[in-house]
Amino acid sequence: MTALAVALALCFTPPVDWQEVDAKYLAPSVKSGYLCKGKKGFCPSLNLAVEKIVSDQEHYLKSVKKIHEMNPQNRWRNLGPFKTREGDGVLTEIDTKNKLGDVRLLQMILVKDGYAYVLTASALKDEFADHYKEFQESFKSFQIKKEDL
Amino acid sequence: MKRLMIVLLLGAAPLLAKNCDKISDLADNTEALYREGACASDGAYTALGLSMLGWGAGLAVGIGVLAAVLHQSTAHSH
Repeated sequence: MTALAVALALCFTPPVDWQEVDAKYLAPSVKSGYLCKGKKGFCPSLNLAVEKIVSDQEHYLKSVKKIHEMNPQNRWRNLGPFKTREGDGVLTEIDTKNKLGDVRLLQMILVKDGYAYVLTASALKDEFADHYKEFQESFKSFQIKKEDL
Repeated sequence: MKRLMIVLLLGAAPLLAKNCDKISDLADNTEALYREGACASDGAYTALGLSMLGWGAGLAVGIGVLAAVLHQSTAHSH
């Protein structure tokens, strides 16, 4: 089967009652995004981005760390391996500052077959613990489904 | 001498072409490596942007409600 004859459906289950965001608000490599409904102030969000890469997971993580640490306000941490339905990824955390307060981002990075899949969740640092479980569940649900065209 | 140069160049042409391909591949891979990590950065910026978008929408609703209340109270006072 050629690559052209296969469409990759990238799937993850967003938390219940979260709202899908219009694609016009997403960066080019971001395939889908969700927002927590009915939340005032800084809205927790979740998105999935994909890019074609030439290196392995270890080198990709080094590049990601370097990019995030270019901003002196960011603090990047590797939280270790993370199991998803698609395979083993790596969980990382970025603490940063925003005009609404201290923000925490959680990124699950999975490298497979020459592609990097990055799921990013964000919430205010003070509120992060309230959403941590649902972020983890969404990350765990990630899988790539190959569909014949 | 001229003929010798032509023969040498013709003989070396396939080798040069092969190396050009290698150099081109190397350039592509170097550029790809340089750009690597862009989607992690896109993901982070989008996450922050969406969260602020939600805040902006809330703010817009708040301003709308305030404007409606002010409009109504002004209308009642006349």
